[in-house]
Amino acid sequence: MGKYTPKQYARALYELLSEGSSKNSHTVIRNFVGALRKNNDLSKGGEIMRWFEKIYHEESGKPLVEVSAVDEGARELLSRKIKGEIVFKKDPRIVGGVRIKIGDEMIDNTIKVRLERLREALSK
Amino acid sequence: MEKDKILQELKKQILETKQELRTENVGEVFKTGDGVAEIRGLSGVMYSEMLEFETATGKIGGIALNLLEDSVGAIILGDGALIKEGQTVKSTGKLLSVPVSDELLGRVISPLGETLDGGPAINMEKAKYYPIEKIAPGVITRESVNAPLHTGVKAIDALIPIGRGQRELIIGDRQIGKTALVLDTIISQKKDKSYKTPVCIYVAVGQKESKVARLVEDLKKAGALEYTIIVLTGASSGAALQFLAPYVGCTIGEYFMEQGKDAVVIYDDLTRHAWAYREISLLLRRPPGREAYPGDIFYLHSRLLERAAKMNKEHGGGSLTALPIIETQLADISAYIPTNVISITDGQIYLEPELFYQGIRPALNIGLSVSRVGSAAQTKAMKKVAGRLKMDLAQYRELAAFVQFGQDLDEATKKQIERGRRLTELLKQPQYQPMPFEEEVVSLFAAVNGFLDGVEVAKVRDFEKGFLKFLHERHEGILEEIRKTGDLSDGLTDKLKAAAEDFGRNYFEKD
Repeated sequence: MGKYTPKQYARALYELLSEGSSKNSHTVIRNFVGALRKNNDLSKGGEIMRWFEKIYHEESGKPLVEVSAVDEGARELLSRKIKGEIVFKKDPRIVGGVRIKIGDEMIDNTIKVRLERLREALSK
Repeated sequence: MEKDKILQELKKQILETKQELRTENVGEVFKTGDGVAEIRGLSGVMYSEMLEFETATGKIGGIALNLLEDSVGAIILGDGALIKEGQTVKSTGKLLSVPVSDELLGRVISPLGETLDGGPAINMEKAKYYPIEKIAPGVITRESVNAPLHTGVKAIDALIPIGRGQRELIIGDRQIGKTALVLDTIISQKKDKSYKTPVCIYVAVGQKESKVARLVEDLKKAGALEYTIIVLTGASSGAALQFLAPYVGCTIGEYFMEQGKDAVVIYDDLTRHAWAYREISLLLRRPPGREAYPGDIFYLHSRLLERAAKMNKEHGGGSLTALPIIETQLADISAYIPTNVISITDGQIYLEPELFYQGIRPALNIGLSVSRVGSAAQTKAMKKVAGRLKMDLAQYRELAAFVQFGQDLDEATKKQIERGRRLTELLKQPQYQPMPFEEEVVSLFAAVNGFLDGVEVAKVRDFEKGFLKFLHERHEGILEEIRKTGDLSDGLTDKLKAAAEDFGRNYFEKD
């Protein structure tokens, strides 16, 4: 039997969990860890978790949205408007505006970046 | 009033600046060190695309070189110590480009286009940006090499001629005069009046900065800096910059070639370039092959040297000559990198330690050196003297073994050996004294026609000096005609013979 990659493990786990009801998810995870131990792949746990999160956010329709803003003012509004799991980061360095990152895509509309662009444009 | 005007202008500029919102492809550093970084995310990145690391003190560039399933391996173009885990990395959608313009002439720059000579920065607005990796010109755009590139070194111009658009390797051990040879080549370009002076680009890969400083000083003294560009990466620059430097030099050369000019680019040296690439490849965990070089080490050099070309008339007629240098260990030219580069180039100039210590400088091994295309570009005048020279030297090499037997030789053999010794002596040439091509022709002419046979070996160079001086004073017309026509017509040959006889009579009477 060949070795499995962390990605294959993660996909298998995701598919098992999304098929079954929430009741037996406990059993699925326990058996999954058992299988990992049997295959001597426990050390791949971290990698598998990362892939699992990625697959989950991509396929469940609940993308991970990272929002950075100066204060928490926008938080409520955004959580009402955006579907998905919102991670809110408070970052005073961005001066103002908001930065939204979904997966590998990022929209940066912070004052800091706009000022930087202005500086670049003016210094040319 | 003035203040208001400035304010108005600034306002206008600010308002005109576009602030459009765009989606960017980003990733996150999860591993860094030794000038490379591994990045998660960046799902849309392309191979060898420019990246931007956002550090606390500003942006640092990078190049994506390894695209794996869930990570990207990149080299860092700048201070790797500023890159930290968790930092955001953006893809730019651009290939690495360098600013190229005529302003670069006479300057020392880094591979990223920063000036290193303390002078003013390059005006980026006037400069064009060229990507440093480019596919070499195709067959349709090229023509065969047809104009000579005179190095000012008699032995090379006569026996291993280099043409414009050729790739000629210079190979030899350390401290044997490889750099001295290319330095003389650069200096001699302005002395070659019958051809356009090419733009010379010297690429220092991992060289000692003291050596490069001396080289710049020498070029300045010789008045050759004004048509030379130096792309410098010192021994202390990171492997990433050393890896890029030759491509940057080549790109600058192509800029001049596209304008229909001639350019010469010197890669000093490709051994270090291969080392830098090996370092990067090992750090990026690419599988090592022979001598721990990665699998694409051949392609690294072949794609670089293939960009040397002679363009045909319809495509501007420019040329890019490449003079790569390879440093060997203990004169072993059959090592991995030397054999690779020998097979890519159109010939090699092999410098040998044994000859160097015998005092034959440049320490050219004529037997092992070849030029596969240059003879097509050699001028007729040089061809006429070089043919005899080649034969005489070959015979001398064969007979030299008998020299030890001394007296037992017949008259003809003895004569041949004596001729050979004088020719060898004549081909010695001190550094910083490249000769214009017409002088090379006449001095070799004198040798192969036996005018040197009566001169003591030790006095050969003295005779040559005197003869050239004599020609300049009394027969400038002969030199002028060789320069103009590039040929030794029968009439000219007779005139030259007469002049040599005339000089010889005076020379021997004086003794």
